[in-house]
Amino acid sequence: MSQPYKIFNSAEFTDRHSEFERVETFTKERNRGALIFEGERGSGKTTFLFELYRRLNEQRELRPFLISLSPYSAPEFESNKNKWLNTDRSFQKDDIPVVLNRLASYLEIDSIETDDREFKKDYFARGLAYRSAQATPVLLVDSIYECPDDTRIEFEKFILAPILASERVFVILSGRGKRPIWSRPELRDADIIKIEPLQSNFVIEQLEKLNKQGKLKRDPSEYATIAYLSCGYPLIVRVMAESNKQLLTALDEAINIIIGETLPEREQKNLENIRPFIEKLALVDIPFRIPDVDEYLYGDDREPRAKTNHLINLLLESYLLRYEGKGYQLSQSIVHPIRKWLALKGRDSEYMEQLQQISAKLQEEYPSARAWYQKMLPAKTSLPNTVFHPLKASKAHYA
Amino acid sequence: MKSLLDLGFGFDPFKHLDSTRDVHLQEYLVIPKAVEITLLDQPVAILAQPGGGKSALRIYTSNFYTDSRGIRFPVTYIPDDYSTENDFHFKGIKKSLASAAFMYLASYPDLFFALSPDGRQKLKGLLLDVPLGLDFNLQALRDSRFLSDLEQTLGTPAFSNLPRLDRAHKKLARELEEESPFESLSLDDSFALLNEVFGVKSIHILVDGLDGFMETQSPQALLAWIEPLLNVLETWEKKNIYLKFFLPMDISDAPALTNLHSLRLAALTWDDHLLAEVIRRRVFVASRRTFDSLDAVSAPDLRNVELSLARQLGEKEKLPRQIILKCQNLLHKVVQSGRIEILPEDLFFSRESFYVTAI
Repeated sequence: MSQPYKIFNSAEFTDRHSEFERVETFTKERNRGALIFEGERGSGKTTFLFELYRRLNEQRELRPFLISLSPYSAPEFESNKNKWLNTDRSFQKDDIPVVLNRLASYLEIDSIETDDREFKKDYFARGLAYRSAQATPVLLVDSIYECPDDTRIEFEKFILAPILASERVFVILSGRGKRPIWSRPELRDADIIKIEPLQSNFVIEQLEKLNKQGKLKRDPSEYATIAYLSCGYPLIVRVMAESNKQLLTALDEAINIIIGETLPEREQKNLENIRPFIEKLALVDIPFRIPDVDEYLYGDDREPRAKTNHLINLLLESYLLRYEGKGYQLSQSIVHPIRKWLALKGRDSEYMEQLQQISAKLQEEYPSARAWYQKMLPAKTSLPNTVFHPLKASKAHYA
Repeated sequence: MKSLLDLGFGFDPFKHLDSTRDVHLQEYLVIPKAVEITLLDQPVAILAQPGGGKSALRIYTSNFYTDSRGIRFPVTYIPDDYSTENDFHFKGIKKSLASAAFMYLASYPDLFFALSPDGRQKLKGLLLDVPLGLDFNLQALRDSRFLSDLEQTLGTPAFSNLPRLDRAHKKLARELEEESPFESLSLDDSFALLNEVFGVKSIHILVDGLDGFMETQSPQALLAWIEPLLNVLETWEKKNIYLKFFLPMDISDAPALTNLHSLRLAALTWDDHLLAEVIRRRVFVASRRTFDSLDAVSAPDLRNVELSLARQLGEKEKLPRQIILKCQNLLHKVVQSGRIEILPEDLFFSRESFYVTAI
């Protein structure tokens, strides 16, 4: 795997004390239950979960088992038996028997003997439910919201439901995008913890720390700008800090990574064509519906509705967009960096002008929703002076 | 002609007014907070109007326990007859228990082969009580290709998701047929047997289907009829056997229920927001998580469509069945008009509500 931001490295972990405390309190005060960490793309959920797994491995009374449903790598856990990671591909339904087998072995579960291989999955699942070992299992599952529905339903049926039948068990999940509807009440009523972007001063502190360890080559004068432009999303911070390009180009790359890798494989080569439309959507300040934005996005096209439908479906499939309350909303980890990037490039004015026209048109067409459509435009992105200087000076600071 | 597909639905989430036929029920059932006690390890009585969601909750509860792979063992008891005999219900429960045990074996056939001779004989003794007779059940086991076929023939849910029935099932049928049965087991012995041979830790007996009784009998008669069950609540609870009643609302104030300290009562009632949630969940699942509100397929100046629909229901209509029917009518009208959008006049049309009685 070539992307360094998809390799876990505990030494570079940006600490999240309050989240760890929540987990600690949860496992100490209860016998069982589920916790779900939710956050935007690039907010650090995966890294947090991996670090949590590392720490839980040090606790004798707990038996952690990590499953990553998205490709990720963690060389420092290579010898661990209590994990399922794949560096190249996402988790699939066919992987369930392998996971169950590993779980059964790790949790010392006896299951019914059978000659039929295809029955093993069900017998392991039964064994998981009837487990009688002393230690408490903690199942950590990354990217559970982002997997296809049929995979998630199978995962719940064969892994989560049986393990949750135990009297002592903890399930810790992470996901982004729209919360799925769980079948199990423990998951429906799970404690939700939001993984928020990092505070600006914290980002700077962490970058300075890494710099002292000799892990960064960027000039420290750029750290404040990185913190500002990244909006505190660790993935963007990491890509920008490790890039040897100018800050604005590095931000551009980070935005491409944050979007591109979530797109279905068949569309990844189209990123360049898709991105301008995502940029336009990033400026829409209200939850929108397809008829609200089709003309804004594809006004000159003969089939604006069909193209908008396609784009929306694509973004939904990528979990970069979700329907929330009154309409679709783009992931905030895309919206804010893109707004800053557009402002710095001076491209936002043209889009704002188009959006202004659409907003006026919708207000006229739907007078009862006038107040709503008046809020369609965002406030102009103001860029602090402290940002401009490093941007102008920014060159490759690699030695 | 437009269809729900054009509106972005993968299937019609408002097709089934009868929850027992809805394969997606587990995915989108809304469970009001008050009745979450149904899933706890204790005797409970859930009270609701006809159409208020009792059977849906009972099915959800049963599925919840089968998902535990039977460690919490569900037994659904729906009296199919009426008798004033004191042991009428206990005989009925024993039949239901035998049926569930048979399906458990079909779900994990290899389990039987590992049992002791004594365990096998006792199990055969229990299975002699299965509805329609053991011979019929064994023949169904031989004839079925999938567990779902067997579920359909015997009307009892399976405990596993085996991809197909295999030679292990043929062997199970043969060995069960050849096994000599233990002397007839008492109900208490049957409960103990499930713990002994299957490792079951608790048994949850779901008593449903009593609404029909109320159509011909008084509330007092219903209470008198279920009294033998109410009398064993505490004794059974001590053995981790929990009775869960799904009862008509008319008997909610009956002292025979309210005075029972070991029985927790909860009313399954609905307000506009919960009913709106019934719609949203269905929309979300049927649109494959694309949107969770009918607002997404409405004209831009329509907001909170599902809440508006719920508010249009009369006081006595505020039931899941009624809101589902209302949505069914609304979407039917939109589709029939060849549109892909709900308009304000469609909502106005749906005020002409269709009230249905119990199905």
